[in-house]
Amino acid sequence: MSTQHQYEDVPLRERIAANPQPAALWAVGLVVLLLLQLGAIVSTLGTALELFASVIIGAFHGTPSGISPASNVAGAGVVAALNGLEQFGRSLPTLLSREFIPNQGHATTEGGWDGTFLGLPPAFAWAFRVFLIYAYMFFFLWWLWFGYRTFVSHYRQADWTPRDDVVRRLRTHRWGQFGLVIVVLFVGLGLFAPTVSPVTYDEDVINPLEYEVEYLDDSGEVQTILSADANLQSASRGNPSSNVGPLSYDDFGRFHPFGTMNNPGGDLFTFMAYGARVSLFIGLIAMGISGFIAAFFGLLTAYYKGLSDLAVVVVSDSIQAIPVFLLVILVSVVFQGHWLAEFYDGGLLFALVFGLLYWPGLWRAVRGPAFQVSEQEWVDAARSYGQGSITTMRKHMLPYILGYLLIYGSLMIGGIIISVSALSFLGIGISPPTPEWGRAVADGRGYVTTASWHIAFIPGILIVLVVTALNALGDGIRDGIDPQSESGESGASEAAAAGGGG
Amino acid sequence: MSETEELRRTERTDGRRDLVNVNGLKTYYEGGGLINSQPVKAVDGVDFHIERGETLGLVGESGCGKTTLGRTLVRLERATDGEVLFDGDDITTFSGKRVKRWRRDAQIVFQDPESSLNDRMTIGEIIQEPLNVHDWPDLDVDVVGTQKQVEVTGDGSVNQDEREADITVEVPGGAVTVRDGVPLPEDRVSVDVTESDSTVTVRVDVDVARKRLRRARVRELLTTVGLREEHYFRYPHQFSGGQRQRIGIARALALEPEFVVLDEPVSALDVSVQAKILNLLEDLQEEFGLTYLFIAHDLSVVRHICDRVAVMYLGHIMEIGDSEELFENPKNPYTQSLLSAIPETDPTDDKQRITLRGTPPSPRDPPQGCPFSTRCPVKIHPSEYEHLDEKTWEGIELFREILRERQRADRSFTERARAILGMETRFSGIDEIVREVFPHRLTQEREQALDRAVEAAASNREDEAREILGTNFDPSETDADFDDLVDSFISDVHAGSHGQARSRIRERFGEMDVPGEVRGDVDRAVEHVRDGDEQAARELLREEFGSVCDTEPPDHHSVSQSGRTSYCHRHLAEHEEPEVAFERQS
Repeated sequence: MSTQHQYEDVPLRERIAANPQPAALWAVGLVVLLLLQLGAIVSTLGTALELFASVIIGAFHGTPSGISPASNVAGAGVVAALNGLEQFGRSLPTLLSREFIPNQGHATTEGGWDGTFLGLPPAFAWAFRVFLIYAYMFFFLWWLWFGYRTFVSHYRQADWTPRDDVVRRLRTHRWGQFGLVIVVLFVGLGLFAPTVSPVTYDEDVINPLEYEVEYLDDSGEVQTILSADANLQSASRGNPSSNVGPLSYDDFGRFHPFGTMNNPGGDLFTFMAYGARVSLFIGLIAMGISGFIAAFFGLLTAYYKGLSDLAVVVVSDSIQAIPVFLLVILVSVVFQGHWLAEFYDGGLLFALVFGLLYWPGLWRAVRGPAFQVSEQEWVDAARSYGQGSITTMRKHMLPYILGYLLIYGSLMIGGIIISVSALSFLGIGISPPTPEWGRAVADGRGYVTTASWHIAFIPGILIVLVVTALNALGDGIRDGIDPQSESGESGASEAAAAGGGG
Repeated sequence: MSETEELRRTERTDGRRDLVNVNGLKTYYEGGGLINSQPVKAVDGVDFHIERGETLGLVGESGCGKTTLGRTLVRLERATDGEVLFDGDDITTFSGKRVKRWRRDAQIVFQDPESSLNDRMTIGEIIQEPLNVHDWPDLDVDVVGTQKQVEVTGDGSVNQDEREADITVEVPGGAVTVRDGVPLPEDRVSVDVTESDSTVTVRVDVDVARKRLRRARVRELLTTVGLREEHYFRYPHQFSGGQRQRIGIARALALEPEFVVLDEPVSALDVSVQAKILNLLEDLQEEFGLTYLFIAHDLSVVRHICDRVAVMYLGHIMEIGDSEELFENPKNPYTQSLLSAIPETDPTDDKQRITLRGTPPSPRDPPQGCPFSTRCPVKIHPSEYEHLDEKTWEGIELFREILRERQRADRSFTERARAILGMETRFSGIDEIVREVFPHRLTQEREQALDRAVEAAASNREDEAREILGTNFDPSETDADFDDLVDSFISDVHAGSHGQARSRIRERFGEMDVPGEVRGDVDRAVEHVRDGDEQAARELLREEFGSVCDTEPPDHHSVSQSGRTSYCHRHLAEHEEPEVAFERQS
């Protein structure tokens, strides 16, 4: 024992201390990347925590008044502090921000632009900002991947792990990679919504009466108009004379990548970006809840079998027998005016309902694999030397069903996005002003045959694309972790997707 | 304290030779069905003991309950009844902490090396896991050389159990010895002894972390089982079956058990690797004084490695005793049948192979008497039928077995309904069964006619063959059934299978070729079946042809000087011994 052994199991800290250079290089890179976006990160963190704290406070007080930073309910101080954090984050310098690369300005009589980044036309300023954001995002992901490679080549003690095979298979899985890229684009759209949209949602929809737009009128004078009025005048109403299509400017020198919406107008891209945020929020929360329940019951039923299994089968069958849409309609009526319905205009409520309704499908998907693992002799072996049941489930069973949760989870998020859009389309989903893609489709469906076809068409296509990408990603993960299944098991995944779609 | 300790030790090592004592052990699996579920009687009352340091082999066909028995001994299954004494304590009554403590003493090596190691953990983690679970090493301390009350402080604790303490401190002086199994250099242990009038306080400080000791222990184990230390960070996928089995053995040995159940440890391996693993197991037994229960279906392996052997059939131990003796001179009919199945390497040897008919009965519904009674080639027959020939007996037993099977087969609701309505079910057709089971015979003229018909058909005079059959067998019968029979007869002859063609006719028109008294009983049984009362048919046959084998479970008779026992009625004085019966048959 006195001699240090060659094959000694050394803690990672000591391994890094022995050869600090690669790790230091990577850490410095990471810090630089984070510092570039420090303000955005801090303020996003503040927003997320504020939301979380508000939900907790709401749960205790049951009134919406507990949520606002100004109210005097116990705990509101926390919300106020987090709000302060968010404001502080906004004051921090952020490289890739709309302040640094502005796209809003007015044309000058000399033919140039005033107020935009380097005097570029708004379209180019906006495109440049979006490009930088996505470049940053992909570079950041690559840097994380690079960190993993650094760990493998410099610090990992095993020269091969089963994960290596998964990575190797994923590296050649083009369909899965296609899905991953689209999903990253979608996540980026939601995550950086305030930065990638041509105009903030606050200015465009929430408080358009408090913002003004400067533009060059026909006589060569710089005029000022309220945002609300400008939106109204540039709204797309199906008739070619009052329509702003994709990739075009309106009369007030504003660029609309996806065109404008119908009454009361506004930028469609902004709507889509903030809508992505809402979809992502609902999808992730619902998926988190049902994934957790599914994993918990999956392990429990597979380990104890018998009666516990029967009980969960009965409960899950009962839940699956509930008509989802009818229940959602019921819930949205019952919870009208309830504090839970305040968040995202019912978005949180939907997330909870979907989370509590969709776990049986996920549980059924992991039940088979969980039973299979529980029959492995290593589970018996763990019992034979007295390993506790919780640890056995966590260590010897959970790793084998996590992959399946990921697969079916990604399919399920797609299903939830479709469901929420469908509900919003029907007018019982998320109500204005919170943006939701399905509502854009509903609003624009009267204009499909007119010049303003883009209002319904673009959101519709994007929904299809994102859901397809999530399915592709799920396929990729499945082929990565479970090569035997290949793509022959599409029946199961289709069923899951269909189940998710309600 | 130390006196009682001494006493305990003495009793343990000298007083009891047996490490494991199994008495009347039963392990039943509950049936899955909601209605009328019979438990599967996997282990149905076994008694045996395993001596300290010996290897007891457990052999039997697959499904006979040997794996369940092994798993029950390490408490992977709960015993339904009976006791398992481990070192004198009944482990089936242990619970909670006591089970966990005891698990260190009894470990199991699994059959399938592919499935017994978690693929997502490194070899180091796999072998280390049992050590982590039990927070190994205890660092318990024995203080010798004093009669006073002993107190231990610091990292150590007073040795509470019957195992050898990890650290032994000699008083006075404080000389330290560390047990061999713990990779702790003695100079890393510092001891501080303070003595008062009535107590000795020993402060033990170990300046090596337990985690490091465990890792060192894992590396030691790797070399012990013939692997290398650099395998520590590899994953199970990177190993061959033999190497994986070595890892499983290392894991079982990690906690220094006394008793290891080896559940077919080599049957999944190549023959060349098997020998290596068996040698390793023998070496380890010698090195660590292990006691093995070696479960196998490969008899030659068992003969090679085991001191004693138990032969299992349908949840019962049929014969148990000294390995060499049992293989040389088996006493129980089942053992004899089993051993006769070993291929003989000597071609001049004219040993007779005993082929067992049928399959083992379902453990859900084992026979009432001897478990082997449905297949035993030397089953005791009632004295009034002693004269019947072998073929007839075979027919009778087969007939009884078919009736038993029919009773056991699940009848669906539709089938029950059909039976009530008098329609045909898949359980009907008793005549065909009787025809197939018992030999049949034609009268002499008919036999000659049959010869002529075969000859005619073989030389393509088909019309003539039809004519012969028609006139000699059933001139009045001109229905389609008979025509079909003749058609298949001719096609059989054309296909060259004359024997089958003949037996078709014989079975259809012949008389049952059994002595008259037997025939009467069979006919009566058939009548019962036709009336739908199979229960009565089975009872009739049992009363008429059954013997003590069908009704009474046998005793474990001692059959040799060395205490070998055999579970068979034939060892009673009033019956012939099994080998005599076998001899008479051949």
